[in-house]
Amino acid sequence: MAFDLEELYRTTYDAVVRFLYRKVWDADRAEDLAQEVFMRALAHQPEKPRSWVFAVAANIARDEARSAIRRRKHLVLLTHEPIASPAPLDNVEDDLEHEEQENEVKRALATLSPRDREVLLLWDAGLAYPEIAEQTGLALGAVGTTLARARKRLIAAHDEMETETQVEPRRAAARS
Amino acid sequence: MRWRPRPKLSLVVRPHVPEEEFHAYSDGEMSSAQHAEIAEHLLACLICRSMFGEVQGVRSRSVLLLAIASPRVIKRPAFPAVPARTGRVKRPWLGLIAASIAIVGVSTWLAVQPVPANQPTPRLATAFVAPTLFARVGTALDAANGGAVLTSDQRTLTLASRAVVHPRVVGPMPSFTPVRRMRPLEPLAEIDPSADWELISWDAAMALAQGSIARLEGYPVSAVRIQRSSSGGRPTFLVRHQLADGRSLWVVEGPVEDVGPLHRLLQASGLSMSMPLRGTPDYVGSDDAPRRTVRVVTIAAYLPSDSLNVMVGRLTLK
Repeated sequence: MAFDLEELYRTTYDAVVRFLYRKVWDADRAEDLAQEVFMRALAHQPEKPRSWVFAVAANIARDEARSAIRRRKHLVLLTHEPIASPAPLDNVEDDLEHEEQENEVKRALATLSPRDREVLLLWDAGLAYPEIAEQTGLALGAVGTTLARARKRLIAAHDEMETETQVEPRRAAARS
Repeated sequence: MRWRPRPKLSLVVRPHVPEEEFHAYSDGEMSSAQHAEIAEHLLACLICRSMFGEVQGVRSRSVLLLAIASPRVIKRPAFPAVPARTGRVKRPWLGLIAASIAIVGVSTWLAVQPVPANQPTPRLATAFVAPTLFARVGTALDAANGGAVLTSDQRTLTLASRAVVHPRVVGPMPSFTPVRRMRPLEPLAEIDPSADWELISWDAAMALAQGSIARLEGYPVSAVRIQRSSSGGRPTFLVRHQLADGRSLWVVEGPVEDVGPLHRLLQASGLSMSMPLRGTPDYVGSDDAPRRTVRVVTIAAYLPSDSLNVMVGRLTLK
């Protein structure tokens, strides 16, 4: 089958950006990295472009995480809190609400094991079970089990955080 | 393997479907035969139907959660057009020939240029690499002539040296945007003069803020205005800083529900706003019904928002 980068770009660009965003948690950086992924795809012209793109995205995100650790010290000196989105804010309340919710999901995702998280993110990016199995090295039959476990753990962790948020005002009232 | 007769359908007792199979079933990852088998089982088994409902709930909830953790806007750049290869043969030697012709042409032109009688003919290579030197030579020649100024023809040495003697004056860039001038009045007075903003001293503001007001280090504070909260919470502070060039910059601080509308008002007045910085949540009101508030700080000024976003990093919320 002929390699059609334009079609691949049209159908998977958004999914790749979302996949990368959940790894680097920076929208601009995720878009930059996605561009890098498609540039590499253009050079390599892979046989299975869809799986290949997500495999490269995962590798790039891993490299990015390593370099982010090196940069972290300098970033702390520059700002006290990461800027979530560079777009001008029209509604501060809505944006902060969204940011809080996103932080909760981010923390819930962080409680999953790396394998569970990878399988869940790949599935959400639209990959089929055989593609997920190929990329993660799992047996095809194990993908469903891993995915079921990852979904349940994500929800459980998120529920736990929400419960804590509801309990906190009562604790604060009790302290004062 | 010995063939055994297939039991009648009513006698087939299929065990309950494992949970992970329901996930695969919901994701459409089963063969058509497996899919049909589970669908048939679901019709007959109440326990599995209940389990399947739960799995569907888990699946849709995880999708919703992951949707929250997504960039709000994905800017997809246009796909770069890759020109089709037309079988054109590359001829690198054509470039070499063109370059050689250009060098010969320029050399010939330089060779026929008029040279003043009292000056040595500059060598070709020197004429290209050291125009400033020839300009100095020209000045030195003027001095050697006893101050008599040479005519322009006499001073003309090479094209390169002419460029140095008469530099081109570059005007302002067409896309240059002038810096926005500071408005004479404070923005709040222009937008909403009836707004109940009190002008108070720094000490009074510190007392109201219980010793903690966000401000920018290194810039003097020229005024502090506050707007008291109707719900008895922390007031909203507007701290004006004086920049070195005389312009003002406002640090806006207060509960998110008060700063939100103010943020929009200030933006509507033409001021640039920085990204808001959020503090830790606080609880105000009675003990029985505490209300959660989030403290927000943002910077407003007639400056590019990029500059303000950099300044936000210098704010502290404690």
